[in-house]
Amino acid sequence: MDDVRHSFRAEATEADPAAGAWQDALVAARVLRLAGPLIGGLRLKARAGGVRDSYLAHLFGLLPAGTPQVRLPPPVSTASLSAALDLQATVLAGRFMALPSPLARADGGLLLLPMAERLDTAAAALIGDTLDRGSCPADPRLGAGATRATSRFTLVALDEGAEPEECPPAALTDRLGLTVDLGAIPWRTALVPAPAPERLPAATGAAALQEVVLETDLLRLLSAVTVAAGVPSLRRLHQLTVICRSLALLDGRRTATEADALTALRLCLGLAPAPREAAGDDSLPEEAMRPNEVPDESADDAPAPDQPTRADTPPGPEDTRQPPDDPSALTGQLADLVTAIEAGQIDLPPDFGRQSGRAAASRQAGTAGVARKDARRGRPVALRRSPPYPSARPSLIDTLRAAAPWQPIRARNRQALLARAAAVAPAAGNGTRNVTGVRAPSRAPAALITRDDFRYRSLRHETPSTAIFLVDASGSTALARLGETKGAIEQLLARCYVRRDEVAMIAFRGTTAETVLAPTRSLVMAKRKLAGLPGGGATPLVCGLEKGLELALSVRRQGSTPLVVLLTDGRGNIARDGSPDRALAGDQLVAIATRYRSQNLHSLCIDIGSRPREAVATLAETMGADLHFLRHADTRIVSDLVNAHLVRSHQHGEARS
Amino acid sequence: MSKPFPFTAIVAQQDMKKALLMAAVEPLLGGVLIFGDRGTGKSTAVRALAELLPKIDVRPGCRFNCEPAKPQAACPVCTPPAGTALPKAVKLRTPMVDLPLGATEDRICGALDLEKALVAGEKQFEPGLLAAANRGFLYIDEVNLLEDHLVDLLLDAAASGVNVVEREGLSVRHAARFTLVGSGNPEEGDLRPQLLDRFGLAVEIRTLTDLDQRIDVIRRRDAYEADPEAFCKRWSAKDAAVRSQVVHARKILRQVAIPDSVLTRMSQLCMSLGIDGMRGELTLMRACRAAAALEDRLAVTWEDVSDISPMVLCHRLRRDPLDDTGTAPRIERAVAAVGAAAGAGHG
Repeated sequence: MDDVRHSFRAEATEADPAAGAWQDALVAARVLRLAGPLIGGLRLKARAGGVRDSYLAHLFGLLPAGTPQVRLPPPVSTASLSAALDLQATVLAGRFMALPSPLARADGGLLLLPMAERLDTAAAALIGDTLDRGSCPADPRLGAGATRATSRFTLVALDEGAEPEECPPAALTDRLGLTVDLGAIPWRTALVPAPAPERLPAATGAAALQEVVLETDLLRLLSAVTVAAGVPSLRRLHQLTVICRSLALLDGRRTATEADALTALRLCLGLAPAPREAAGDDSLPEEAMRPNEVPDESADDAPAPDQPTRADTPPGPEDTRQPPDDPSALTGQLADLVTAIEAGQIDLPPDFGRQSGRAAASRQAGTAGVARKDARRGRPVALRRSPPYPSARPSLIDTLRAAAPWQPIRARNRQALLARAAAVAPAAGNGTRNVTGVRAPSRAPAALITRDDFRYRSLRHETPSTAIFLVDASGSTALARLGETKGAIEQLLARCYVRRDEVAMIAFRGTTAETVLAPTRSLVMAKRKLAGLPGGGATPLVCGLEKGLELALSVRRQGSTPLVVLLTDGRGNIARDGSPDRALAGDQLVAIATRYRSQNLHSLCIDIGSRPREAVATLAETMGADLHFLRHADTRIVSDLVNAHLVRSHQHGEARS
Repeated sequence: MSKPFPFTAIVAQQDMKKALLMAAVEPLLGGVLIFGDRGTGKSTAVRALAELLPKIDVRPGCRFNCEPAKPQAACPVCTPPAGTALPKAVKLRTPMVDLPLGATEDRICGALDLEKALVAGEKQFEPGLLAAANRGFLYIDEVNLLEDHLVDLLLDAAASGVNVVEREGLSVRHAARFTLVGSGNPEEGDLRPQLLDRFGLAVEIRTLTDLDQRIDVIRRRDAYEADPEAFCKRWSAKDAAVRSQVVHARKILRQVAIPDSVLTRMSQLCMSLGIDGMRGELTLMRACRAAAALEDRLAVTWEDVSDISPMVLCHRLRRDPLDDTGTAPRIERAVAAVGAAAGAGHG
């Protein structure tokens, strides 16, 4: 069935990509049902809505009745993941009683993580650790024996990220074996009732999967594909093997085939042979075709007659089909995939492996706000008696702590008052109320807390700064300039780790601008990305500024303060659309520079021409940037200059807080 | 809760395994930092190590891991009120305490025991993670993402071996001698040099690219997941061998001699690399001793130094961002130069 599923997918992509994606999503659900905790779980990329609900309903429908399903509350924090105080039980028992953490409650079932793209790294680390070990930390107060509670669950991370920088932390995504993207699926496709949950293998779990034979050769090929695709992580490879085996088991087979491997690659990494293959069939002569097209074609050719009908039917009924008798029909597809990837013929999906690491590295925990003294997150700096902002809730633990020392005194006072009340009461002839206004309670409260005890935590959140270098990589001096800028970036990174500042770089040349280095504070990362960068060509200054603006605004949205550093020696000669129209470019330049000013972006313009030019001065004026002249973009001077500005912005931030 | 993956079943990554064992032999080494990409088995190795280590003597109920011979004043179990009998010491697994990224200061250092304070009106100290890690390991995954104020706490405790709590009217000191093990992904940012310097050894590990090794990893992982108990049993003999190796090494550690000639060259090496302070040399010496003891030798040789110096010195080199050659080749060159100058092979 798997080759069917595969070729079905190939056709579906051709005719209707959404249908193929939907079929894949359904297959992923069945794999998840079978191998759940072994592959960590599923990253479900979709906005909230009917399609997602329909998919989740299908997923839940597959699970045996009575499987625990825990949905975490949206702002997931480490606090909400740990065991909580069970108030009622505590009061009844007179000692701390804890409610098990959501992680422990999900044991053996499904843990639904909404808004995974907002997850902070600490919570992600906790979930990742639980996934790895199959157990989560228990509340230490429950006794020394219970330091960890068993918890093996399948995680379904609902990722609603829209912008590239909005993605769950890599610590989590790396552990989720399946990725399903429902973004392109229209409602009508999801409306078609999913094939009824077919027979599922009775035996699930590691032992059953282990019985499926996975040939070493196939494993070798899988390993080669992952390495070629730049995903050398062994965790990924392991997930792939488990998915392969599950696919075979779902199909009732005892041996995993190459088709399973191809499906697994698609479900896990989003890797598929180039989709143009079929379209290219008629237009391209046989010998000009890519190597990876040939086997696909041969696979499709064999069952050619019934193809059209198959494309219309869901893969469910085909389950009984035997795998192709001749295994060589498929042999080589994986090998060809490796070749194709190595040759750069396949566009790797932008969203896995290294890339997700980079995106995650560029974000700090959460995304909100600037440095304020009423920050709602960050490092606790002080305890206050008044709420730092109107809706602040008192810190329970600190309040109790403040009240604790007073308890004996208050209890004595209370006793004295009650005694006096008791002495006065008979005289007044009033059983419960007396002149002092103290009502005799049925029983003594456990703790006496007064208004004075309330404590609020005040937090300080230091926002990091991000220096965005916009580098003119055009013309003859480009190489020297690029080299110096790279040097400056690395020097900056080597000294700004204390403030946790980040650095990014955009280079513009020829007709476009590209983000060479996404915001990072890792020197290792910067070195990797900046090695080998071409220079020369025209000056698309407009494109560069536009890209810089986008990045700066996105950095600001993430709660960091951007500083744009523009290094150029002249005026742009390429318009936004890439045409060499100087006049148009000039107009567009003014427009975009004005936006810098209106967005109130802190920017720095460094003129690195051999003599100062009017054009650069005008541009700096329009942008509202600080202008500096440097004969040569000397590494040390540039890095000092930017560093000084970053420090100033920090001091500014401190002064504000 | 199943058993963790056995230490000896981890494929390759010799540097990481050796560094962890050395830290287990010599607690004064100051811990291990493991930097590497995701999915390289960093945390697997650390968790496996805890299972492998020999047990320690503790009195039951003691939450400070006091040595039975040296009870601490802060511990109500080991220093009971007069007239109460001391519980008999038992053997427990070496503590391997996880420090979660989101831990609070209270949780790390310990704080007033609220239950006792509110219910019984007693002022008692509730020990935190630092107490739990005493005489064992403190493991921080994603150490480069740890919040600065928590790093400060750790640095102080790790440097002094004592945790001092002065808050809420409490004044408690207790021993917090632990081996710090940190792991992280270098692409997510760097560590502050103060913290970096605290780690005695630093190893950088890479994803395996050797096909056979990769396949070995997957096969073993599969076998482990299918039946953890049986798998661990199959590897228990090898684990036990390593355990006795560690126990033996600990015994002979203080007898391992370092010839003066080797010591001199160690200093020359550190000087030629421009390492700040004495910590590099000291750590190098301790690490070499631990390595020799692990191999059941009573003398350190120059080979030990050339093997181990990258682990000890890489992260202590002053960083020159414009130098593209890695730090490891620089150290190798320096080792070769010092070795040649002194006539290698006589150590």
